[in-house]
Amino acid sequence: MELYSEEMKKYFESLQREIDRAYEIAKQARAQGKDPVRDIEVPQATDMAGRVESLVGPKGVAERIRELVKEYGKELAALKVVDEIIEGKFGKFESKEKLADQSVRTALAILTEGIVSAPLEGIADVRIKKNPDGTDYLAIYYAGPIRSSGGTAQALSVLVGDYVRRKLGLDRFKPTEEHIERYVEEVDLYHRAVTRLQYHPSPDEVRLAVRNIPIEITGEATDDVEVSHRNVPGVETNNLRGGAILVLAEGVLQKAKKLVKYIDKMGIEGWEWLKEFVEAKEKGSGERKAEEEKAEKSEEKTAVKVEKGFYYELYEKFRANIAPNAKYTKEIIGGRPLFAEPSTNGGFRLRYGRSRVSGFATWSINPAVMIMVDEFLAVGTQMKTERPGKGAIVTPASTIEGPIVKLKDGSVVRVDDYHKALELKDQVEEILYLGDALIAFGDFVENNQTLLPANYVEEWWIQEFVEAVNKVYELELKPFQENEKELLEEAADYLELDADFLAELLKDPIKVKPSIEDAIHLSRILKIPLHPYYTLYWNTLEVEELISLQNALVNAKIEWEEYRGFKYAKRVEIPLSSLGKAKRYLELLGVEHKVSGDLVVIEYPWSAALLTPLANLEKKIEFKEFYTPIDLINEISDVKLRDRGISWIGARMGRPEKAKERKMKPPVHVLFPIGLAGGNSRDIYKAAQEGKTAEVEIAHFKCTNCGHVDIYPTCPKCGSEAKLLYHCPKCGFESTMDTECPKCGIEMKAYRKRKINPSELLNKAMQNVGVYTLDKLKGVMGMSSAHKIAEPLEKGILRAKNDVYVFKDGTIRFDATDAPITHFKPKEIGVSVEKLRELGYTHDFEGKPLVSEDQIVELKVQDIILSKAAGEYLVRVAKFVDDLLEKFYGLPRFYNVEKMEDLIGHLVIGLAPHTSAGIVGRIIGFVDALVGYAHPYYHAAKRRNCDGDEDAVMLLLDALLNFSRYYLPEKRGGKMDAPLVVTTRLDPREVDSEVHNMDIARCYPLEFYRATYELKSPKELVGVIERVEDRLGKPEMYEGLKFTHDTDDIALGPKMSLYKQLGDMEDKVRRQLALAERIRAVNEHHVAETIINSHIVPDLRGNLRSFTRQEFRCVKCNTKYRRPPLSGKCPNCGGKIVLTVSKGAIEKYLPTAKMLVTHYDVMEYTRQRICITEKDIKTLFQNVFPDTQKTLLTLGADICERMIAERTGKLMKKNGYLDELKENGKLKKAQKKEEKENKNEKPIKQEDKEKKENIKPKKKKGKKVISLEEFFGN
Amino acid sequence: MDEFVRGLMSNNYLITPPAYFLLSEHYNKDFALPELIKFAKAKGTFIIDETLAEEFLESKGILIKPKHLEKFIMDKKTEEKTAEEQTLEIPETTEVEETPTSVSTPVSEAIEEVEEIEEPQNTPETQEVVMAEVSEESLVEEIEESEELEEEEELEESFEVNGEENGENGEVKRKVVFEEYGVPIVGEEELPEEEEKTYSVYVDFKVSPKEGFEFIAEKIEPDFKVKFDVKNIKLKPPKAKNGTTKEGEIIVKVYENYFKSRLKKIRRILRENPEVSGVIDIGKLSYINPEGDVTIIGLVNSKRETRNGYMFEVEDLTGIIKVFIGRDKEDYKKAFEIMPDSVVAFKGRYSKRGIFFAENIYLPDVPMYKREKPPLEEKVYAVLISDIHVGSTKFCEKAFMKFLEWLNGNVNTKAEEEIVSRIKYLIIAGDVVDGIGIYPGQYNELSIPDIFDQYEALANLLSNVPEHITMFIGPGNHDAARTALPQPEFYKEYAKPLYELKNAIIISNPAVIDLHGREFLVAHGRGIEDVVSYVPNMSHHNPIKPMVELLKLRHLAPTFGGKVPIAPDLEDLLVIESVPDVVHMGHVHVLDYQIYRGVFLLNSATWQAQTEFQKMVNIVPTPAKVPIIDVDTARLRMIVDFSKWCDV
Repeated sequence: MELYSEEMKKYFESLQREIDRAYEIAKQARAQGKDPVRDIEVPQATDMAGRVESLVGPKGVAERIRELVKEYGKELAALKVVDEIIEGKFGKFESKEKLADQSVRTALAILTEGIVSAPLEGIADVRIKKNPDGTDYLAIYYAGPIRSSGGTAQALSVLVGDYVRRKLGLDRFKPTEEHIERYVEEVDLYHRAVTRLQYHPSPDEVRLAVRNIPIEITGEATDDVEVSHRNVPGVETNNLRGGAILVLAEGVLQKAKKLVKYIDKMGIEGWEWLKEFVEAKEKGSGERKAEEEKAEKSEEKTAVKVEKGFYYELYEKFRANIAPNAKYTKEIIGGRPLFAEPSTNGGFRLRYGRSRVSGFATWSINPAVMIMVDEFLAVGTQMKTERPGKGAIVTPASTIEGPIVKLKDGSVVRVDDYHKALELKDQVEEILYLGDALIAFGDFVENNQTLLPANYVEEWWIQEFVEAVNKVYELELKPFQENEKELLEEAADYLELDADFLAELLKDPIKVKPSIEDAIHLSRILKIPLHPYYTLYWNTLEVEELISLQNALVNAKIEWEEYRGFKYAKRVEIPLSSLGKAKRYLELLGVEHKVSGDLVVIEYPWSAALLTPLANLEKKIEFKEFYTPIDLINEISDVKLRDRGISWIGARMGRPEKAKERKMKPPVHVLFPIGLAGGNSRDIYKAAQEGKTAEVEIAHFKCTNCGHVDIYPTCPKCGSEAKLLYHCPKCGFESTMDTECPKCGIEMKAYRKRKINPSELLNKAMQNVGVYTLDKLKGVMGMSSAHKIAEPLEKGILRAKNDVYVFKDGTIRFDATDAPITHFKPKEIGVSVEKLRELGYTHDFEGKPLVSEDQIVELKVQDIILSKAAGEYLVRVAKFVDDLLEKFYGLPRFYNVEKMEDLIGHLVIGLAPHTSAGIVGRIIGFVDALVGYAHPYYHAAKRRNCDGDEDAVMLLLDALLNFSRYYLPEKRGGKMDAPLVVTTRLDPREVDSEVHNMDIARCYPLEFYRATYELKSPKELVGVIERVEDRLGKPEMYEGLKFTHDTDDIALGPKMSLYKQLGDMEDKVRRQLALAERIRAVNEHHVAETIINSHIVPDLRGNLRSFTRQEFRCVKCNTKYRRPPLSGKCPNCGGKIVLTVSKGAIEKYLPTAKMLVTHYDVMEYTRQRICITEKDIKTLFQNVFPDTQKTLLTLGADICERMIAERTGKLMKKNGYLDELKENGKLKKAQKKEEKENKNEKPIKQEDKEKKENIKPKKKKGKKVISLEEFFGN
Repeated sequence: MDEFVRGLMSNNYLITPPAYFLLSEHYNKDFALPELIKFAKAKGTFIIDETLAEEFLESKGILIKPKHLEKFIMDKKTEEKTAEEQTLEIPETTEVEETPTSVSTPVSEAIEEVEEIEEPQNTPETQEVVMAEVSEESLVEEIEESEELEEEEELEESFEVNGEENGENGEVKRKVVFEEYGVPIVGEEELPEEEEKTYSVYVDFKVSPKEGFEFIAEKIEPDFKVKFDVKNIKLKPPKAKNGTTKEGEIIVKVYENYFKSRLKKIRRILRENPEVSGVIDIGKLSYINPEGDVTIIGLVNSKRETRNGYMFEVEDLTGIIKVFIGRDKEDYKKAFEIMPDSVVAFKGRYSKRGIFFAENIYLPDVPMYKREKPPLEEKVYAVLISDIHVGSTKFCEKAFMKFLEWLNGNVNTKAEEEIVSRIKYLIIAGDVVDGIGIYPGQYNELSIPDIFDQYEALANLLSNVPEHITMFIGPGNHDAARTALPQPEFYKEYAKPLYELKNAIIISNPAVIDLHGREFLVAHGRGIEDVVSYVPNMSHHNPIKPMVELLKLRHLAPTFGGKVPIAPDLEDLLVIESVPDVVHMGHVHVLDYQIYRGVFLLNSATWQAQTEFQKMVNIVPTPAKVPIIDVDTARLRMIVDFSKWCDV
């Protein structure tokens, strides 16, 4: 079967042509021998097999992989390849160890699609070691970068290791008890001292695993944390082995279930224990579940007679099955606000769907929300979310609902429009509802999160409408598309609607809304729920409140009007005084109203939206137990309601968005060593100007022709090729052939200390490229690569001239937050229709010819839309590459760009951190937002999703010309983030499989919405909503993807998060809390407390501690000392000795902390903690700066002094202001709180209470409770 | 905040706290300093008090009503009242047919309901939450307990509880009731309900001396003296060379002097050793005849094991030199015991290559033999304990109470009776409470999450120590005291109840107490941690070995930059200057003792059962074992075991 349509074929061919052109030029340039290698060092790979061979080898394996994968699938193929390697099909290996090493790496590379660097860097070594009983076993040494391969691949690598072990006829690993305990300790220690493990296994689980895994999972020390099980025989280090721990905990144990599947699939023996482990685990939870069910059932039995409202039952079920997940709120960083507490009414309203720029761990929100949260959110800002995933970035979608806010004058406004938000933002007193979060079904599938009951939205209503029309009139209308005219006219006739309007409504039900009269009319005749736009947040109210609202409204002055036989309110006016508390209820309903003077005015259509469900006050709502307001309304009103606000999702800000050129610290123009001669900024130009000489370690080359030894790969004397000259550090033996000294048997080095004259070298280089003035030329202090080969200075000169900076591998990078996009409008990305046609975009997404800049066009999979900032930088990079070609390599210019637009159509390499395989992309436009928009496939090809990751692009030709493996640092992880291979053609089947879960439907069907009410698992709906997976292997996988919600502009919203514009911590925290106070769904006291505990206290205590153990440093030569030298000067160079942790660093956050504990109602424990910390800081310096102490102790108004006074009863009696202040903190939001406590959480609370009561007697243990009075002996 | 006050003070104006509170929030926002000063001047006063502040704010047109009046609170009584009011009010204003009751019932019901929910929440659930979490939370304790920064995750976990606590304690208690929208009713503020504590601070625990029990110690004249206490030593603050000297420079200087003082003090000790002769300054080594043996004394900068031996870098006031001791040397093994920054002497030869080849190593150490002290006429005993950790959920409260009862004469055997009757002193070597915020997530392991109450609880317990027993109480790293060594004392404002105990003397960490002519060196013992990490074959399980090492180095925490925080003080007060008779430490929670060269060293364990963290790193504490020291011989007399009551 053909994999591509004609059009896609053309697209890929055009890409390949461009790629070939670049390779051709780069080849000519590299052949000149001015670079470490005379060939391009970025091999092309069309597919996974090619990448595997390029990354880890062995040679010739790619072909076999292709065949084997076709036959057996990826996992089995990995094992087959192992078989063949061991059988010697790919050449002989010098030892069993090497053989094992190669097999494990190749297999792991296959399993990780040959993209991540784990097979290279994650496995430090594979060794054959001896058990205490003398038998041989296999040990895999994992290193930190194994993380990049993901849990499943980690676990599989162990399986592969075992397979290899058997193949080689080795015995199993037999750990001693001590050895096992070492693992137990390490897992725990790693979890608490380094990073939290995603899965933290219990000691017994670790023991079970270590005892049974037939190979040794070990590794090198990754963290400077020592264990207490020291000097265990067979373990080389007493430090934590991070790689090994990850593989054990997050690999084998966390992915046990998946692993078992593979074990069966691959037919590997000896892993029965894991099956038992998985079964035991499932059974355990299963039993519990069964018990729960039983309990539920018995409850049901007793409750069987109770009649409950529909929504009451749904809420009950919802609460019982899906608990709020507060994990994301446990850490709140200063300046990164909490937007909504977990599952709290008024937070983000869940809306199912995918916009052109969402899905794949990205949420779309209305850009008005970004404004209303003080612009803390911008396009691309990361949020840590409650569910479905842990994180997401936000993109704008203007077709979903924005916030509902209460203004300072008491009016309530729905803000769905960005510009309206800008207008109103300064008048906002409270954000009642934060607005919609558009979350894709695919994200629920990916994270296997139970579907939350859908909130009532237009896209659901229209389908109920269509269904009803079909039922009542037997007319098959189709939503979300154009309908036949006749059909429309007939339907319009029956429905007494305008046919054109009906057509529009059906085509775009999200944007087009019926009038309230028509909405009521349709509900009445079709018996469908009221249109969601006019549905209020009825269930936010308590039943009692609803009743009292209805009662209050009786006093209102109401203008009535008639329409098609029913009455509706045209305007409602009611004095504040007769409204009373019910004013708040109006706010909570989210009904728009104005307050002028003493009068509350609700205008059309909101007057009708409010009064129609209340039966126009003609019927009284009666209290009924087990009924929610909507249930009660549906009892009395002939216009039925669906709940528009059941499911709420919480989130806080994560990382701010980013789009910035990559600079090393300090920035570097050229990878050329200058030592200390260049001063602090490593400025080679300055060193040359000052006529300094530098002594640096640098690679030496010996000319193959004339024998001249110099630092260039091409002989400067005769122009012949020069070879690396190795020399023995011990005996001085030199050779261009051997790398090991034949005499001493030690490794020889290609670099040596050498005195260089910057001025001489630089002058020559400047002449070579015809640059005569320079501002500065920043080099590096020394090289960290194995051979210390330096870049030609010319490259640096041209980079400096064009103001671009180089990364450690010789390439120039631009980093940006990843954002997904599947469809764009030409006008959004600043590109003309003509240009787009040239690029192969001939039609819009509906198949109409592309003529206008407003049409929506489907993005081709390898095309990318860059941030403006990226465009500006890449223009300079392109100029640099052209200069390089012209002046250094003597070749014609390639890019010839003057402005950003000229870059369109040019190719880049996209490359993510922790990976070693880039992917070719084509620039097709730019947006004014700090993100890198690209097709989700493209991101997945880099192994990224869009939950806040960022990665880099570089110009293709720049990478081809300037990248060299010889520049890469020799240390562990040095090969990460380097374009060791580049994929030229994107195959969705070979990208990160997370993207296969992305949904690509035009709309979610009724079946889906109904399923959400049953809290179904998303897996049950796989197939109902089309996902990428459903199209894999067909040409449609590339084209014809759909989305459910449109947006006006993919860059609409603040350009930069406020976070990035705020100054010091106090400022950040103040703004953050000001926002917290404003959002109804946030408890600012909770925020204050969390900031203190998760950010400020660790910082304070950490600095306090490190101050008293700090290192001392010489300002001049930067030598570090554990304690100050007795001479008071640096013994090395006589420089001044300074602290590395200043007093200021400790005190930095103290004022912020004091402010927080003063103004917010935090736990007494927290307050005491801050006060004691303050005292700790003061006393630390009591002998050094005794005076400052006194000035710090000035006032009684100080929170700590007040606390002490109160508690010791010494200084002051309970004076008025003290209590006032306390109250202040507690009361600010008391009103808000009350609502919360009473409404949302009441049922839960009661349960909690019961639970607590149950536990109480056990815990109290007869400790007597005493009063404060007794306590102080009053 | 301070800027405001400082500004006033520099203009010779004073401000009262209430006035400060009123004004500070407007300062620099609504008014500038000169305006206020002008106003005060006009009023002819230099004290800005509350009235003046109010007048001033009024004159500025700034609303004076404190913020809290904007949103009001009410207590239950008033709430009911409003409910009533509403029932009355609604029928008046409505013209609808509903009866008043039908409207009002739900409202008042709702309120009642709220109240029902609220009460139990206010009351004792703090502890439940705490305890429920305990098993989950294993914690970084003791050794690692200060690693807070790396422990963000832990913090996260601990927070949930905090948050809930906060919400409930803080806000459910009071509610806002509005009579009409925007016009809230002000209820008379009742005094807040007595906060009922969910934990006991042992107010009711009272033990009195057993009737008829003869306390011989009562008749023995007390003979004690605090010979060394950090708080009695006045360290002169360093003088800045000139006004512009930066803080940082001063601190570096101070630390420099700290080590100079150490070198000086230990050098003096080393020179008392007759074997240490021919001492020469490092700076003068190059002038001397290379043939003869010389001795150098210096601070050890670094130590590195090489193929053939150990290479040290040693520094004194005159210079730095590399010192090498070969594997074949007799004193080679002593090299293991040398910790970074300790002061030692090397005897050997200086080679012109700039390396000093050592033959011998001399640690400061204590003399081989102790001089005899005159025997006492009457036997008198001292009880040594430490690490009580009051407030921890693992505090062995029952065992400690039993211990107190025992001190009061409730003994089991004749032998015990003899001992109890002669107990005259009780020394507590730090960590008397579990403290707060000592390690991340500690909240969940505290039964008393309040530092004031922890000391109150401890004082209540210790108030049962018979009056004739003098207590010496010093701080440890869990206490509310300076975090860095040395620790002069507890923070008085937090540990006030301890200071009020009649028969207690607060000592510093470290301190030296003279009891009947016998010197007791009491220190909490954090230095043990560093010995364990720097000296091979040391472990927390046998703390006495590290303690001996510290004694040999004559310093309580030799290494800077290790686990022990050291304060920037001008003088090193951690040097063990005089040879003690007894060395008493705690900190590692394991009872252990040994006699080294006549000095009795003892680690007095703990009153805290094994914590989650200790379980994880395999530290097995030996709680509730009480060593009794015979003051006369300065040796252990007996260990009384209360651990069977320690079943936390």
